[in-house]
Amino acid sequence: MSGGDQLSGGLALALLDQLSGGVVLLGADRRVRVWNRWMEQAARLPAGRARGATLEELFPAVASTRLPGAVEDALGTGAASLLTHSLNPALLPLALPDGGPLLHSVVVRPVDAPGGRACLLQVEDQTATVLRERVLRERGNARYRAIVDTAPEAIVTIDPAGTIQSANDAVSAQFGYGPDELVGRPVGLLLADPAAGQRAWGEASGGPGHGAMLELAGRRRDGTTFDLEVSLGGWASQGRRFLTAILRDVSARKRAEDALRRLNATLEARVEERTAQLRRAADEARRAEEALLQSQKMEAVGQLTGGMAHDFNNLLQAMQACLQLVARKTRDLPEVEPLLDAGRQAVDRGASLVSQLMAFSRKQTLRPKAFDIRDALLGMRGLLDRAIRADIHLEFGFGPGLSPVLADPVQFELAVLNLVVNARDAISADGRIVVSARNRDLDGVGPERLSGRFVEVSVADNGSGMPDDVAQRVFEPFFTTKAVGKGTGLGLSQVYGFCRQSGGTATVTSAAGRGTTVCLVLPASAAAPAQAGPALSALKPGAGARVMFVEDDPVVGPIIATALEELGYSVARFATGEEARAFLVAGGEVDVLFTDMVMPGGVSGISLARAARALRPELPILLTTGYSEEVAGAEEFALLPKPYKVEELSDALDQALRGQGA
Amino acid sequence: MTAALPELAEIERDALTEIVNIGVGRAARNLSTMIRSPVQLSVPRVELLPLARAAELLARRSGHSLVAVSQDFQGSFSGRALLIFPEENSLELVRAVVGDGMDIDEIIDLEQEALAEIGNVILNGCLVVVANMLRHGLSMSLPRVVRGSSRLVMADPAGPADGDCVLFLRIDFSVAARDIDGYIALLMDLPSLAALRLLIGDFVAGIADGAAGA
Repeated sequence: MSGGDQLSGGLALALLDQLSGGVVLLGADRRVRVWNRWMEQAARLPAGRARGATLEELFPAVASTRLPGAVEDALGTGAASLLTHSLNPALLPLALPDGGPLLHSVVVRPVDAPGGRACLLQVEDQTATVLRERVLRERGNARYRAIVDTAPEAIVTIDPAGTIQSANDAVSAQFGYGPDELVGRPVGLLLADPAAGQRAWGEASGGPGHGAMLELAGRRRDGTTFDLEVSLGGWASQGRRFLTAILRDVSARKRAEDALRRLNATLEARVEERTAQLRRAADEARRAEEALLQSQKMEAVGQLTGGMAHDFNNLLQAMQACLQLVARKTRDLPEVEPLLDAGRQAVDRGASLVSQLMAFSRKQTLRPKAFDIRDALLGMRGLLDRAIRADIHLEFGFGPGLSPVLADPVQFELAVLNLVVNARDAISADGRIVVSARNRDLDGVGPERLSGRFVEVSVADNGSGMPDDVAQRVFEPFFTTKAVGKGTGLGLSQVYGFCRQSGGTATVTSAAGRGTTVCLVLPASAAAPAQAGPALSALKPGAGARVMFVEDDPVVGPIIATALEELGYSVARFATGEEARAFLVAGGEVDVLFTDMVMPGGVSGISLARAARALRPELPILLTTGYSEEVAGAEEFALLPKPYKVEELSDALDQALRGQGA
Repeated sequence: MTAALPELAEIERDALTEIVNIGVGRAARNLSTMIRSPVQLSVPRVELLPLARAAELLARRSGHSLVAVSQDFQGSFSGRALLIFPEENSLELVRAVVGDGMDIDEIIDLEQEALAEIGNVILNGCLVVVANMLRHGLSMSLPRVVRGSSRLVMADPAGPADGDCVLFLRIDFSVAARDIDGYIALLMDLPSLAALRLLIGDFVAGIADGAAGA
């Protein structure tokens, strides 16, 4: 007490009141002995009231702070304590003159005085310092945050231990962590390989200039990884070193770079490939051009052939009729018969040639009917045997339950003959030709997308075969490997044309030295094959029926007219459609109309037929033509293709008269 | 120097470890009160080492950048108490104590005084308990923060003295889900160490008496 009295009574107390900090002295009994003026003002508590009370009595909230313990350590042991504003905010309820909070630190020390140990509390006003620091920091931060928080790249500050000390908002978009979640966590969290990352970090932070650019793999919160470019910059603050890392997601750029690298690596290959493509395209274009030329050529040939065929057919028709008539007149002269036969054969071959010409121009008149392939092939056996050589063995093979096909049987036979002859020519010596047939059920096969039941007839030889490029062209018209004069180059194209026109197709497989197989694929017929009809009837007596015969051809007209009359018909012949129509309009008496379709003048055979039907609906009508293009549109009428035999004409007229036409 | 250093008897070491653990336990309570969050501190083992050896050990275990809170003590045994961390852990320690909400710049600003106070709480806790247990008063200075190599932070401002020794203790902090390792070093001269051992001897005898008495 005496020591304290000495102090309080003297200069010392006056000095304490002048100090710009709080001074509190607690006695060994923990009660306030000294309370200076600064404390009176800051705590709004006069010394008179403070003295004699304990701190807990004055400020009950102090009990829950470190302060009582510090006082105990000072008084009990002699330890000095520091209670900072930072870790002990609002330790005492002190206020500034304006009423604002007074930020303060407290230092607690033992004071050993003669009267015993006391405890000195020094209270320091930190307000100005803290506020100044805060203002400076905020001023500095405002600029920094304006940049960092708006940056699209993740920016993190890392201490030398690799712990994240701050992170901007972009980390959440790039890594999936909130900025606050990352603070205090190791930076390795953001890397696919934390160890490698940490090493790179260490090197970068220790390196000269403390700056580095790293390429690492980043890892998002969901575990996915991506390419990361990291710019590291070192800096120091108050003697502490930090790294600021700017983390940029460069996966897109990486992908582009990789793609570019791959592109570069494969440049040569791609140039080659592109060159080949261009070459192929050029080849393609050339082939297309060739095909176009070919088709134009074929079109021209087709028109030419079609026109010629018409005339040829008329000539053949006339010759055939002539021979027929001659035969009837010379029935009693057997020595004439061989001559007539030779004539007939010549006419037949002429007809066949015309027919072939028509076939590759696809203008032939096909007469499809259901027939049995097996019968047809076996029936050809003799013909085929004569066509091949003695050193070639011909075999037939048939699959079970062969369906009948729907095609023109004559054209079919021609096609098979053609193939067998080709096979023969491919065999130099001692060979074998196998003609076989089997059913095939197709489902959208080949470029023609054939579907349904078909019969495949193949002609296979073990001859020289063809290289691929030749095999691909064999169906082209005029394509031939034979020497000039040995073949027309029309054969296989005719075969192909026939099959296509019949609703099927033809294929060829061949390899040089390994023979050739040509397959004809023909549609199966739902109908049963027609029974081989009775041989063409002996000429039916015309029985005086009146035939209205319209034919412009000056050769064919008279001969057929004569033939009809020989058959017992009464013939009214007209050279033009106009004449014939006029006759009908005038009410001329007639039992059947038989007219050529193609005639000069304004009234064609079809016009005439239609006019006749209009005038006399019950009048039987029979059309004929050697030129199949006209057939389209005349399906309602019975048709007899040229050239026809007199017997065929007689049959057709007979059927028409009996109402069985068409 | 090294040869001159007496070895601690097992019983002395155990007694010191026990006393220091009580001290850091008290410090942990004080820290918990201060930051209103659980703090655990433990000291697994006490070693007595020559100063140079302690500095070498520290450098090897914690690197060359250290931060230390230092307080002098004076009484029947005198010397300097140090709480030492690798510098790279110090921000984490401060952040653990002040909370995650703070900006890095703020933490840097208050790191120095916060470290000083944390050190103060821990060192006072130890020394006060040691002094109380040994029934001898110690006066302790305010803390100051020193940064640098192990040699620098351990250097006696009065210059190295032959035979200076260090009671060297590892301390584990567990604060706010963080575990931070540091060291407590009590630097003494040999007479102080002898005095301390004497006091420990009395303390052990007192416990034995107490046990016998009970």
